[in-house]
Amino acid sequence: MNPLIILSESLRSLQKNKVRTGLSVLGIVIGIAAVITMVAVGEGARRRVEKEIATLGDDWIMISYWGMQRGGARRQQGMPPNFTSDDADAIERECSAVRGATPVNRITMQVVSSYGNYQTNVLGARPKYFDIRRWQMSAGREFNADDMRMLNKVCCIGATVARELFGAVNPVGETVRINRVAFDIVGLLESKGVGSDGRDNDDTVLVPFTSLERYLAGSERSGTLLAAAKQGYDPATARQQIRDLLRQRHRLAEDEDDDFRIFDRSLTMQANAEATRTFNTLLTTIASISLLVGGVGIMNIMLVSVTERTREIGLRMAIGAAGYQVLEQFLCEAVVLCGMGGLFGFILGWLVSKLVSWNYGWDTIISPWMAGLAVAFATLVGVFFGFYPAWRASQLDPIEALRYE
Amino acid sequence: MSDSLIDIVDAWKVYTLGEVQVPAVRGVALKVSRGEFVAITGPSGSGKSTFMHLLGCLDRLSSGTYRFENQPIHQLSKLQLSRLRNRRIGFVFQSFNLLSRTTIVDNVALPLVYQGVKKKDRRRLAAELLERLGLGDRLRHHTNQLSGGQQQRVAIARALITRPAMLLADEPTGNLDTKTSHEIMTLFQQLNRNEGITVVVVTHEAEIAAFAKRHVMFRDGLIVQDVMQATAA
Repeated sequence: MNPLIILSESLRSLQKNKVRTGLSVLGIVIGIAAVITMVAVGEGARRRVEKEIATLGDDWIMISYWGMQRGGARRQQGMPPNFTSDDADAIERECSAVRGATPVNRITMQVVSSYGNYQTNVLGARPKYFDIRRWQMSAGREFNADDMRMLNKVCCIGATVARELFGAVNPVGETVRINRVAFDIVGLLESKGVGSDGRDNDDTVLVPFTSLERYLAGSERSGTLLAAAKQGYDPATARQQIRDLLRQRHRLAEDEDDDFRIFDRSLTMQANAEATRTFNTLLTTIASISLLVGGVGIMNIMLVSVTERTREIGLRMAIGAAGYQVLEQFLCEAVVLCGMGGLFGFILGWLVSKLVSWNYGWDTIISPWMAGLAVAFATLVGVFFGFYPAWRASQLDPIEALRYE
Repeated sequence: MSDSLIDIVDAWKVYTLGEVQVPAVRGVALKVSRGEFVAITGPSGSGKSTFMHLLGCLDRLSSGTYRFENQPIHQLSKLQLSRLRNRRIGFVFQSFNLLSRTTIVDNVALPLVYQGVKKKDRRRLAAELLERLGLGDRLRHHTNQLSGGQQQRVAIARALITRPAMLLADEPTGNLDTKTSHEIMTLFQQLNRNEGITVVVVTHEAEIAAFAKRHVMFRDGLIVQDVMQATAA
């Protein structure tokens, strides 16, 4: 029989009982809405983690020389004085998966402007640092290789520092005193906000590594390197290359432990992403249970409907409906019910997601494919839960059915 | 090859109730030619209802043969029986069995749904037929807005829509008053006389049976009387 004719027969039957139709659809609507909302929240969380990894530049790899403290005086003595710089050069030269490496030295210091003073992190690094952390300027320029070579007293300051020291005044071109040494501000760093580790990224002053060593660090040596993997390279590969290189350079024997630690933000990020994924799966599973309950509701209402319409079924069979045609009609009714539920459920889920975003400030993402998926999934539920009632209807004996009171 | 519309030979229908075998129809033979108007009567439990179900291809014989328009009904599958009922037999029931909350046009058009006829054509055919039966002014009415007699007319229209070879009515006047009953039976007579449709009416009322040309009486699963008669009205 023509599927359109079946569909119109089903629609007509459903129209007869609008309240019941509406109520049985409601179960599916709620189920689908729950799934859609959870997927939207989950997608939002996943994208946020991805975005953090990609745009906040949280894919750096940090190498710290713990071994210096633990390895005893002899080894420390054997180290050349500028070992972090040499190691950084070597990493950039030899590790194919690394896009850049720089020694860093961080000192907490009082910084004074003509408007006020503020204690912050003063961080010395090579210009590569901006690329490694994917850090852009919102005003002015980065310090560069010339500044490094000339030991220029220049700095780039973070948004928090700018606010504390200059308020609304544009800090570029102004001078600050760091530990009583005057530094020209050449750039204002773009705000990165609070990182996923809870630290305010903008609470920092960046100076050329050489200038820091010369004017500010005194005898304090850098024990840290910062590197980052090339685009498209697995950070794990970069990490392994750095480890192999440093072990070789530090002349460590096979059985000796590393005299450094490699800490990789991408690892925590991956753990983050993993946790988000697990959480999403859990939420979606719970939401799916409500969809299941909705499906059972549909099955129940279809069974009631079949019983209630026994005489109608008997009549249809007497005047020539074959068993399969009765099955098609009732299955189609269940599928139409669920399909509508899927559509309305998607709309409700979309609204709830917006509400969640607006109320809790969570990112939620609704994609067009979710609408298709919702309807398809609801239809599947309809086929699954509608089959048994429809099959029962098709197995009725027309004589018995016509006699049914 | 016989000219009979119905040719039943040694028909048995045996029901199994627990361990007891209950024969409802016990070796009945019946021939009905095209254009006949037959009344089947008998007290309740006489087997007339069972026999009607067999005639209407709703049920199958336990043994014996049934040829309808020369087709061996006893050899057909369930699906083939559905097709046959849809195209060649029109049913009229005691309680009308119309779909509620559905217009009378759509009720009448229902059998055409199972022939895959398009909605527009279905409605046109149904409307034409209802005009002929004097219900042309109520096409968009729902069935619960009609009187019993009107409802039965709608049911008759539904039975006629597929141009069947036989109209099979099971106590068609059982829910109607005497006056309306006579109107309905007169309608059957007209259809039989003017359009040559074979009509088989099952009833327990002698008065209703009197409208038919031929009277077949059942008792205890057997035909005890089969006579031609002068018709009423």
